Amino acid sequence: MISRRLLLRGAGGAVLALPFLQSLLPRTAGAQATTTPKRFIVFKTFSTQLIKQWYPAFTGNGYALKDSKYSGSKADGTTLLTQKLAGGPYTWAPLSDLKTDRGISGILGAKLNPFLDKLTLIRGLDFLPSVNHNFGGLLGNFSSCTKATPCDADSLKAVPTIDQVLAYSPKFYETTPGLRSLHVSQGVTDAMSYSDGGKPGGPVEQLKTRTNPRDVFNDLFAGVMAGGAAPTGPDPDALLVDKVAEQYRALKSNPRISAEDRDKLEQHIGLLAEVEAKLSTTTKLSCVEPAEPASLGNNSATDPADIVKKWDLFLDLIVAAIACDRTRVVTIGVHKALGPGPDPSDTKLIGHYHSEDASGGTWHGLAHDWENENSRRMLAGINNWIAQELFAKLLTKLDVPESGDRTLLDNSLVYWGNELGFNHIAYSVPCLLAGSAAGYIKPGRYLDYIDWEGRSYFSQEDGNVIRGIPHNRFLVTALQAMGLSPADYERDGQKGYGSTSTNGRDPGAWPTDYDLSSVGQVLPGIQG
Amino acid sequence: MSVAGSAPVGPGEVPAGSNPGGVTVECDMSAAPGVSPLMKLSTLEYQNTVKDLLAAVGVAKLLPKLEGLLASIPDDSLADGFRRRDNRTALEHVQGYFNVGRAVGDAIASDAALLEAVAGKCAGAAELSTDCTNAFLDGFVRLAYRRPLSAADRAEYSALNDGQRTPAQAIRAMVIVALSSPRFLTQLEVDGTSLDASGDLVQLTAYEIASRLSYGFWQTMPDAELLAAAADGSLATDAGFAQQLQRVFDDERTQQTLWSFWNEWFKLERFTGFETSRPALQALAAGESLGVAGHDHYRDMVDEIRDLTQLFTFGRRATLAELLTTDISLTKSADLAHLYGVSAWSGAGDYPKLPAGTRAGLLQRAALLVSNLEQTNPFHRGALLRRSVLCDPLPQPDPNSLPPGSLDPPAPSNAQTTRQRFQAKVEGKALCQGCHGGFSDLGYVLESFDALGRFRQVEHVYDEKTGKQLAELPIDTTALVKIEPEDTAPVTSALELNQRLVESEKVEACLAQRYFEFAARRAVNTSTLDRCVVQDLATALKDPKVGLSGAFQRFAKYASFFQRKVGPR
Repeated sequence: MISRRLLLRGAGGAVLALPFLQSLLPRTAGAQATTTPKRFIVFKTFSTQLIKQWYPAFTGNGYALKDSKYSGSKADGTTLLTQKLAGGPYTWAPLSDLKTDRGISGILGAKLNPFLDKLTLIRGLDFLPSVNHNFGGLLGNFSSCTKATPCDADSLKAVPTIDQVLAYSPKFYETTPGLRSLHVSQGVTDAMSYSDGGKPGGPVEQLKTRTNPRDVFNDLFAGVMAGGAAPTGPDPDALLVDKVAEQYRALKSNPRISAEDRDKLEQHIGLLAEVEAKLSTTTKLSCVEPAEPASLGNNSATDPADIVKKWDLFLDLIVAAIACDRTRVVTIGVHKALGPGPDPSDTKLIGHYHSEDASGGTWHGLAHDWENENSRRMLAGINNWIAQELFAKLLTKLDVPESGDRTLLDNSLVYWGNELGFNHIAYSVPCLLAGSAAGYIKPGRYLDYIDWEGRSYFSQEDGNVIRGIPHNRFLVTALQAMGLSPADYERDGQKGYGSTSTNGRDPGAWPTDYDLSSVGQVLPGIQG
Repeated sequence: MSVAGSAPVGPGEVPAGSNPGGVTVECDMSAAPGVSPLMKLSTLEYQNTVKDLLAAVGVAKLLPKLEGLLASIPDDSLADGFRRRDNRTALEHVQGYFNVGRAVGDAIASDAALLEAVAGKCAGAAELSTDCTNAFLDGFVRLAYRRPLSAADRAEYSALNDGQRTPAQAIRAMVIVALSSPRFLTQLEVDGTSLDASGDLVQLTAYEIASRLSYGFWQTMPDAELLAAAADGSLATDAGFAQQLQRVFDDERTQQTLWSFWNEWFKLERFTGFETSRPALQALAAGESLGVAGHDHYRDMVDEIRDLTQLFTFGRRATLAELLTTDISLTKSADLAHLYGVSAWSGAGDYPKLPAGTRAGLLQRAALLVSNLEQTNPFHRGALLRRSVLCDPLPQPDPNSLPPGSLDPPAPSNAQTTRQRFQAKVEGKALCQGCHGGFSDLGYVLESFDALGRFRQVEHVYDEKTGKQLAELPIDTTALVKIEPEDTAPVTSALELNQRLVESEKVEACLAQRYFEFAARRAVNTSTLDRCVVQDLATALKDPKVGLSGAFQRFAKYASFFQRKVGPR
């Protein structure tokens, strides 16, 4: 193997072999970022949103409720949008038109008001596969129910979530980043992301979250030069990683190793390449390194002070990571939040927990108990807290100048997605975007992709099942907004991204007749 | 096939076909076990192994500095039932392993005393001699590899002593590589001899057997005695293996491991706590100190399950049936004792008895009955019994194939008991009864326990918002519980339900299956020898001469414990 390496003289005069593991990594050798980077930040909430609290129910400024045009379940008390969006029976409105002192909706409260011209509120994104509780649906892995609760989509081929497509794309990361992606959560250690390690066709494995702010700090900043002279060359320990990788490679050819075992070993080699690349990073930070936080261990408790403290630390570290360009992909699993308690007269907020399989805590129970007004109040309160104390706070921290007139937020796509839609139904899954991905998206609008003139299959208190638009088109939008072309992400000859299978859905009970000829295209009108 | 008394072929090798465990299974299935995939060490195993390795080479004082790094290795998930079955490796693992290796290497290289501890005085010389290198390899790296080094291994590590590195740097490099090696990080079983022409079935070496014992029962590396027994061949003999198995089993670490089994089997960690901010739960728990600082009822409940299972496994060496029917209360918690209506056990002397006619055995302890809210959930209780305790298949409800609102809880009522409300939700609905007919009745019978696990004869209904008592309703615990599909006689009480569960012997079969999954770290492949092993374990669990203790050990006595089936290449 030595013949494949360059040789150089190290700082101590020793001849060192340059590590070769990094050649395995998907990157453009020697390329430097010449344009302002884009970032993809995902924010996920669980079980469901209350549709009528999530979306505006605004009247005034010439707006009326849907009740003014429709009857029956379509008269759902939300604002009727009237401006037509090109590309289908879609409608839109400027978010600023819908602004009130209490925000634009019961959940999307006043602290989001300063960002209305940077937000895109979307209604009508339908998960086509038949899913239940899942990890990666909002990012395109619809086969991720099994470990939470089984569903028909379990049988679908596992694909990487789009954040991982980006994380291993040489277009997205022109050089090897400090960390390809960061995944944080509280309580739950399974991430929403699935990765093939940048090897299309290879095994796809669910990633882990970081639950301790100290670990996040170490992943991002430990060993990185905060000032002074930059390192003169790669860390000689990179060669030791090579040595370890040689052991893994040798083991692959052992006759007692199965094909499945070999995949595991190959995956490990890929991860060793990441470790080695990190050692070889010669960049020094051009930003202010955040303070190292104390270690705060993971737990399944719901102590409000613990929850708030960790979120504050996580948000600061995430923003520092973005500002310092240590990573450009972040996922945030909001398994814990504050919200009102069961006694309406008690204004003190309590902690809430949504476990990975929905088996623990009442957050999940509240979502099922939507017919109970008190449960709805609590559920809306939890999500309002998330909107105002997490999401808006993140946007505030990101909305600082970066290049020209644009802020870090402007150059990012921040995606608040959901595990499911309303009342555990995966139709019209609520979506809120922030930032424009450096001008790719035209923000400041509420886009409604539901075909309100179409058939209402059935309704519940919180929403209608009426055909919207495949969520796959949002995935395509996000991928292209981050600079990728179809050739960078389309697989197996299929247009777009993610499964479009509706297996298991009764066509008489659910919309299944989507226009799949356009499934590889971005969302209509989202670019203005 | 036992080969008692026969000598090993060579150091660490085991004669083909050996079964020092001695238990054979009458079975018409293929003699081969199911495929064993290459497993990483679980995170707990990894952490334990690092600690034990450093202690074994005399540098345990490094450990406090490593705590943060060791804790940064991601936790394993319970998604596959047991943590040790989570075989996923993420970047955070690999980076963490490397960070630990560097921290250990740096500490050793920068401290002459530590360097001497791991590599001898010779490492302080100007150059690292071959003898000195070999001594280090035969110490630190042999322990990390859990077997002696091959010539190729030696050459590989010796190459790091390249003349460019100082002796301390060379040792450091070897430490770092060893602690990230697949030999260290996985339970690698590739050194044995083939038992068939295809090479699919492999006889493990004595060192691999030593690791199966230590990781299986201790969740850490083999100790010096196990490695010595592997080296001198005694581990491959009937008597030598029996001696080591007994020693391993009697070690306190086995108790901790088996507690992981019970804890994860019953999913005790998934309870996220009583929602004590709820006025209605506060009303239900009046007089119980629930949520009061210094009181942790659920911890006490879990401790009770741990203490009971340990007493009946290691103290009394009893059968599962005895554990399932015991009426003793060994909790020392005044809070839990108050819930049960007994005195707390003093820690000595006879155990108090549960109040007659209230509850029976392990399965009706509070930890397995509680809910977060003031209300019980008969569906959850029934599903836990059906799915986890009886191992019967029970799919999760699919909201996409059910009418709207099917999965929403029944509306509150002060005129109906919880059972009546839940029953109304599913009765007469064919779509629901397909599944609910198989488990809900189990939960209805347990309505003699409230949400705190207290015995009750009436149900109090509280206003959710104010906690005001709205009603007191008589409970009904009679139901046609079909433990077996052909059961026709109704059960009238929790005590009777427990008796029927015990008589069914399905709990033994389920424990056998789950323990197999835990111990083998994989699913049972029912078309292989696995099925026979599970059947035999279930039978053994009923045998008073074997009991729980013997059954847990018995897993290490089947021929399959000494073999590995390799998957398709």
